[in-house]
Amino acid sequence: MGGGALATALLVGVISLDEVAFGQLLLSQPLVGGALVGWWAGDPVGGLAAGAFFQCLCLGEIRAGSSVPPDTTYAGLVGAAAFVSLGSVAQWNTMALLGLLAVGFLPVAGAARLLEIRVCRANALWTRAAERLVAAGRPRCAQAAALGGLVLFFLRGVLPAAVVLGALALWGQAALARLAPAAPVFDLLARLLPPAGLASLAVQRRSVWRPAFLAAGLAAGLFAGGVVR
Amino acid sequence: MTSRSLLRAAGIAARSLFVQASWNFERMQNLGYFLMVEPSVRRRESAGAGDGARMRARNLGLFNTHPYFAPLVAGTVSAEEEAGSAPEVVEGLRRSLMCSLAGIGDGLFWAHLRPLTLLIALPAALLGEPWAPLLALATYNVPHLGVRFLGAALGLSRGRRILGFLQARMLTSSSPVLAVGIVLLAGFAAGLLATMPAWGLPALGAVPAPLAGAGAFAVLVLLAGLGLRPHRIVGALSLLAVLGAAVLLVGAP
Repeated sequence: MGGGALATALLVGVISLDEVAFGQLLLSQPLVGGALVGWWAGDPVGGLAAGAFFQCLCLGEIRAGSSVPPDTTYAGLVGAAAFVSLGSVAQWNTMALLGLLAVGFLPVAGAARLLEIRVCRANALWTRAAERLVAAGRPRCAQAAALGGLVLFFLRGVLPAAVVLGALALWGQAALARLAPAAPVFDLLARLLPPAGLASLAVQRRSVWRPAFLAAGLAAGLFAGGVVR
Repeated sequence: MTSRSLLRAAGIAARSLFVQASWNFERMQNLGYFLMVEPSVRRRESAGAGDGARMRARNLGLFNTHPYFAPLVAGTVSAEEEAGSAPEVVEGLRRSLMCSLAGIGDGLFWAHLRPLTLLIALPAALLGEPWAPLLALATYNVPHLGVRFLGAALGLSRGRRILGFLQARMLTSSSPVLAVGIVLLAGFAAGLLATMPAWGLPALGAVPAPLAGAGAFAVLVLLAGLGLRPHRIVGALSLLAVLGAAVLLVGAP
């Protein structure tokens, strides 16, 4: 696996800590995290575009209370990193590449959530360690144990990204060359998914979602009419 | 409040950034709570106000609330313990605060403020403006970090009187204004996607590209009206794309 892919996976692991383990400062959202990864990889424009694309897909997912949907936020971050790592590919335009990466969006989201559940189970060991250290009169060490989950959450962030980016580094170009005849299908998918994600977000507000029609029509009219470019 | 207490509040707020560092199913945010109140425990221990080991063991019990409101709970409990309130009173206060603030925080931040700030930055991101992520970070984290710091400060200064303070302000988990804002911004972003050549559908025969995009958006909204979760819509469309790609690949020379 290329050193670049490993470094990117480590960066994704660090950024993904923001999702649960540290801060919740919006850094792990694809729009911000994708731009960060793009800047890191020398393609800030591509990272931002991919981040915006995947952000539309995960805006409607809300993890609250006992609801535990697939981890689409993390999948979007990995998708943006994968887009940036692929770079430009013959016979594949930006939208076709994003569409192809979107196909892997749900499997990565599901795997990430399963790993997170494992981490949350394993984190009970830090409570045991903190209790033992408190009983032994070592509160400072107990505080260190309280931060032990950061390591597990970091590994959980690195592993799926490393698998995806490593596979792309090894077989990505060959696979894309073979799949090139299907690029128009993935291009169409990429053009449909973001509005679908945004529509799903709007419809969740059942009592007020119809204004979205008006806003969309107005925006479409403004841009079609050349008022804003 | 004195500068010393403001520094204490800042310390609690800073430690609260790690409140979910070791989130676990057994006791949830207990380790993060332990981190937040540890300075208060050290202070009382050095003043001879209690058995440090017993206090710390109690602080490793179950704790779960919205992470942004965790400093408020920690500050309130610290203030009450330092004032010498009975442990059962403090525990009751802690439980009532953490349960009520959890639902409010989830609705207010996860369901409203976060999508709203991302939607504010999304059009700029779609247009390729490099400052779009910074706009999202600024509009979200100013209220977010403000809630953490002010929550800790109010909890430390008011103790149990924070209950009356919160009830008077009638914190709610939803806001019609935010909900309408989300819907309008989502519609605007979707309209932008539909009509921008880089993102929207190409022209379909005699139908110009913007209208093709708007029409696709209308169909997607109708489908979304079936109540499917976003990841199910992504999955369904992706599956159709894979099937279509398979047909193309099989038929390719």
